[in-house]
Amino acid sequence: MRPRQSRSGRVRHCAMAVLLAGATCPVVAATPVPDDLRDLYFGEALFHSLQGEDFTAISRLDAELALHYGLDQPGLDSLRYHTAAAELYVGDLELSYRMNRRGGRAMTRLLAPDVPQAIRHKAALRLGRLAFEKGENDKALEVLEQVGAQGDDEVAREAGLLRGQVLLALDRPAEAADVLGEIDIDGAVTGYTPYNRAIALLRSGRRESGLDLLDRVGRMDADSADMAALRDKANLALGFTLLKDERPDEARGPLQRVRIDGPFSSKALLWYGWGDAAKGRYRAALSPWMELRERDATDPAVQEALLAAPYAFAQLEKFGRAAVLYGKAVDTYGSQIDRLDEAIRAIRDGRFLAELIERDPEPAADGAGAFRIGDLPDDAPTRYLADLMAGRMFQQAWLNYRDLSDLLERIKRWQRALPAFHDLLSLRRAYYEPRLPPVESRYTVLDQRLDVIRKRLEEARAEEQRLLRKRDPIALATGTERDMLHRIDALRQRLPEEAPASMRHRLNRLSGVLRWRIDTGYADRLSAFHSHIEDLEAALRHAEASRFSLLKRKEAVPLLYQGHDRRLEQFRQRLEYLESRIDGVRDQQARFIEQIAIEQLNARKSRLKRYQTKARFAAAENFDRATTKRIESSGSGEAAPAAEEAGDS
Amino acid sequence: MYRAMARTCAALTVVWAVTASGSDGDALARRQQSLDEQVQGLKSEVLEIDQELRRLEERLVYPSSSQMSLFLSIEQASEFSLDSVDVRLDDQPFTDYVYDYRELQALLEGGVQRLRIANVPTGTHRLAVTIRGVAADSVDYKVSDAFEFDKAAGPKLIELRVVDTNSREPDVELTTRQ
Repeated sequence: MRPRQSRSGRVRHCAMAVLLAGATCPVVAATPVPDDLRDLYFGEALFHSLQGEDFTAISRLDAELALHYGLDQPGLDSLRYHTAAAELYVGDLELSYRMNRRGGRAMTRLLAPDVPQAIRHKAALRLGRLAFEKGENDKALEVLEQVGAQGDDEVAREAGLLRGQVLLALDRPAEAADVLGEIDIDGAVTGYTPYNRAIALLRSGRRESGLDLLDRVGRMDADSADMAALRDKANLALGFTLLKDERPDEARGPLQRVRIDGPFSSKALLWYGWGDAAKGRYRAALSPWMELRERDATDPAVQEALLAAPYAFAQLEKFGRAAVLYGKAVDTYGSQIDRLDEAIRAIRDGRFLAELIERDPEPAADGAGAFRIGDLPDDAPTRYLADLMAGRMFQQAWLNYRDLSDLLERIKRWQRALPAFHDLLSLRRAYYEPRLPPVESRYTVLDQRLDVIRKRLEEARAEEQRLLRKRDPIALATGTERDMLHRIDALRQRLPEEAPASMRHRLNRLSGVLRWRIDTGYADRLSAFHSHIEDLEAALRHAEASRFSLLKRKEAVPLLYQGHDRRLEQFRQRLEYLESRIDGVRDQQARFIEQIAIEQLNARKSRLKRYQTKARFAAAENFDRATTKRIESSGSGEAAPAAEEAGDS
Repeated sequence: MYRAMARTCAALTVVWAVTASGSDGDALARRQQSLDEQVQGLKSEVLEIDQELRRLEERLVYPSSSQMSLFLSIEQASEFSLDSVDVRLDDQPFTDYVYDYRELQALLEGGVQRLRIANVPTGTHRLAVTIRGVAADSVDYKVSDAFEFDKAAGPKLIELRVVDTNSREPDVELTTRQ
């Protein structure tokens, strides 16, 4: 039963490394929504993003930004008030949609000195987090240097917490403790900052300070499930560290504080038992271990307790009872191995993935926690895969699979829409094509008439200029007046020499009256002539505008249905190509999910087989000891101990 | 004590076991990273084609000469809940919408909903709006209002804004942009 020393050392190191790695807090700095939003399209992108529709929001906002930068005068566009905020928002959306390369590029652009400081700091925080997640810790520190102490308190606090996490990852715990100690948490011991600082203090050798802080985090008030889980984790870490320091009595308190219905409950019970066992109180250790044995046998802590409980009985020299429990452990491990085999078969048959797809579980809001339990099937694969499914790799793989399915749906929607576009174009062609030739001929007639009018107007303008230079009343005589003058002149010429003088005199008087009227009305007539030219000019301008409008429409109408067929065909081909590629990558992603799940189950199976072997040998060993003890007791005339043991527990 | 601690540590192998040994884990991480890069590339391509197709759709179905977009927003500090909106254009049904919780929250947090994009001829039009919901005192309200607007050649943007007037029911304001 005793593990080899080399293995225990490695295991202990592994456990410590995980426990003391610090907690990663969820991203809490919400993407800022600009006050007094003046751009409707930015608002529309917000409407979608606030409902979790990242793809639609990115598509809309990215297009709006491209349109803004493509304008001749972007300074007149309503987005000009929020350009930097929109850049930050679209970058955040891209990061949220796990397009880290694009999001990272967007954030890098926002580090430019002309970007407002508040937005620059937020971008630096995002870039730092991105680098930390990629394991580029030095780069993360370098970027976080840009977030000064001044500015947005929340951003500075988050940057400090992240800097502490990065320093812990770089194995610089003393610096991490100092950085985390500088974060203003209003004196309250709550949240990730004090927890991480406690871990940093422990790892930097300031053991008592670290233990004290961990103890305070373990006693904090928790107002959310996240904080309650963090409090449990702090108590577990404290209990474990005290056990490691050979202070099992002090470890009891923190381990008792772990919630009985929380995710760390089984681990706490197991370790609580080891605390008693370390002091040789095996009977006391049996209490949590026997309780654990009644819990779900897929739980690793329960499986461990199946060995721990008979171990305690053996230490109490209840060898018969120990042999019986080791035997039960062999059976339980056997049935669990069978369940694992069935689970592996279910994964290979595609049933696990099918179940996941059907239930479509949502990851926790922070993107790094476990799926919501209610979303998952309550069967052996799920329970065995709980750790895996809570891990970043599985969640990333599953979210990728889901995103790819969503992309395929979008592609299919567009593929269904393309025939409708073709129909629309055909209808337009059928409607407009027969109507265009008559419109064209009418336009030509109109254009010719306008040319004539334009020419006449030019002549009138020239005549007006001539009359302004040289007075010519006859030129402004009406047609009737000219006709009358012509007729008077003709009568004068036809008048015989012997005609009475009175008749000639009468003709002269008529001509004089007529000319006098034309002459005295010259100013008014010239003014009226000028007005008529202006009226004609206005009418011509109006007619020209109508002609231009008709020309534009005449030219625009074919564009409603011409030249799109080729583009639509190109879109069809691109969509088809994309569909096949997405399908291929989604298939690879599915195989990857199945592969990591099977590897996880195989690892569990190997471990159970090792446990089973150990239990089998231990059962035989204890049976021998019990038999020996009974023989010795019989020889000495004592009562059979095996029978006593049976009722002892 | 050593035995006990050794057992503790053995337990921890299960409690915090990594999914695979170091080199296997690295290989899996590399494979996942490669898949992740491919997925990011595909997302970019689909986003690009989505934007192009939407532009084409707008150009084909809603030419700029006749295009009109109707938006709805809610004053952020508003204490009114919005259940539905009903809009009629020139006495004809134009659009209606019933809100769920997430949509209402998105509106209250500053989101702007595009209610409808449509083709509208040039000239003067009448928009009749009815909103229904629940006021802060849990009393149902129904507010109707009508607005006239001119549509010229070129896209028209109209925003309906539900504003809090510190009375028992909200008000609807209309803003137009050519």
